[in-house]
Amino acid sequence: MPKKNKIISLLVAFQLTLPLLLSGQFDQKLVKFDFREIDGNPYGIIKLYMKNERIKVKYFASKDESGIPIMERFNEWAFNKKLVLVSSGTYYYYPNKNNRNKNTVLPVGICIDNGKVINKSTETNLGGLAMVYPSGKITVENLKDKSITIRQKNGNSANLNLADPFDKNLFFKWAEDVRATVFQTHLFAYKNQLLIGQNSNSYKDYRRFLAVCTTSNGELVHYIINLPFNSTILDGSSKAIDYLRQIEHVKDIAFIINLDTGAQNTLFSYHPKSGTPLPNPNFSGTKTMKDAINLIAYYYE
Amino acid sequence: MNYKKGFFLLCIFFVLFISWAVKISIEEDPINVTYNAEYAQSSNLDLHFLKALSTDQLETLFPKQKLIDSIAFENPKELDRIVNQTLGLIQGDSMQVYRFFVKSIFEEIILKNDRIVEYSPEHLLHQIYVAENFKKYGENNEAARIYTSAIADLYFQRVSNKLEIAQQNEKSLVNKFSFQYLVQRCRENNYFPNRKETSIDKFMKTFLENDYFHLINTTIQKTTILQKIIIVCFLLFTTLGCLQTFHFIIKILIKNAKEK
Repeated sequence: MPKKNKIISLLVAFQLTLPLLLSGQFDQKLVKFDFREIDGNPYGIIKLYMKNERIKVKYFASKDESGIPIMERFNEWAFNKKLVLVSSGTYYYYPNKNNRNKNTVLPVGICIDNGKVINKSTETNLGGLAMVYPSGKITVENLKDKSITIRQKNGNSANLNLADPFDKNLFFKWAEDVRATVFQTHLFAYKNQLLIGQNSNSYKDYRRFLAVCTTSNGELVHYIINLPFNSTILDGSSKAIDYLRQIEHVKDIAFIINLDTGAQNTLFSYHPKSGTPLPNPNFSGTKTMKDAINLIAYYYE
Repeated sequence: MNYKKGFFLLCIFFVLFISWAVKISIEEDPINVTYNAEYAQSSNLDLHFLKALSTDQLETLFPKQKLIDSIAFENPKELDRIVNQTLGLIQGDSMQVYRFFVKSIFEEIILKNDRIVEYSPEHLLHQIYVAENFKKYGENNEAARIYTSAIADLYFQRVSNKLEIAQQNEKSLVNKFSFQYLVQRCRENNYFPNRKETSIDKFMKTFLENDYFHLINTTIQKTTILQKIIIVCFLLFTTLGCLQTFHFIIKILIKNAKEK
């Protein structure tokens, strides 16, 4: 081959492969990992910048109607996805205490998975109602406010009171129409207010929170705050708020909800280039994905 | 401690375990699952005076108590006739009329029935049947579905709440057939009464999920000093009992081998 043609071939090959080399799993400007040690306690923080809607949310609330478990559903969905992180979601319980098979577990509180209603029972102790839209957005409403805002197919908003049976029925119909995924969880902070009182549960455990905030630049950022040390829910959520205000200097905290760290302490964060799970214990949980009963996944598109 | 005492301790542990297993098995608890539709077929309500009134006046002028007393409200077909008659007479939004029937009449009715405080399987089963009738009616009547499904959900939510409260007040209820039957009927309609777990339930759940770190962490935090001492003593005696038993078995084996 003449020398000139060889050089041209090499240049073309380099130009074709360069974008592939640079692309990686996801845009590193949109996902940042941070570790802090505050008062001797480790904080693992994952910041997800939601601008341009490139980072999206997907929630797997329950096994589906044919009994396919969460992990299988997730694996099938994640096959061609660029994952950013995956975490366990909300609480679950065994309906029959004599049968501890994980296939029998049920989600606690209202649960709708991709428009399919799983559980219509409202759990009074869980004040947060999280709604994940097919577009990849997540919003959380405070059930105790007696008025939740939903976004209809035509783009209009509507206010419903889930304590009203008629409104509750309209809510289920809306969720079926727009194929929303809905679940209840602990709401620790809402619209800049800490909702946990001094008389809250004094049990200490590892904590993980999802906090959605607006920065001083007006940017919407999701924070996964992983606290791998024993703290009460009041202590843990106060520490999370202090971190967001004093270190991240956020302007507004839309909400902070709980991500379960008990028996389904699952958290996988993925390397931005290789897409492999990060082994760092501050950005990962102690359980495998097959132990998770429900999952919240952030992905890049 | 000799091997006899160790073996005796193991036997006590085994007997306690078996009695616990027997206790948690389902207790017989007969419930009459047949349902006789005893509600009135007609309410004989005269609604012509509602003509040309607005929906705001429904609250004060509609003969709610007469409808409630007639028990025709449990008949979805009769209720639908009354709703359609009201819609024909009233001037206003149909959604407000539906909302009136669901909230002002059925919530008031359900509250009235909720004066039955004690756990009554027959009463709850009756409410489930009424709910299912409304749900079925709505599935066959598109126009009525919007409010009949709301009424059905209202009944199911109430039954679900009552089952949760009943189980909290009497933990042994979960082993009764009637309770499990009612819970199953609720689940078939996407209502899952939450089962509050006792400390022992949580302990077993964590133990069976092999979450040992969480188990030890919780045990250390949630037990009193006395409970911690009892746990340590129990583990110690069990270990000693096992060691003594193994020692005894090995001695027998060695003795048999020597005799041969």
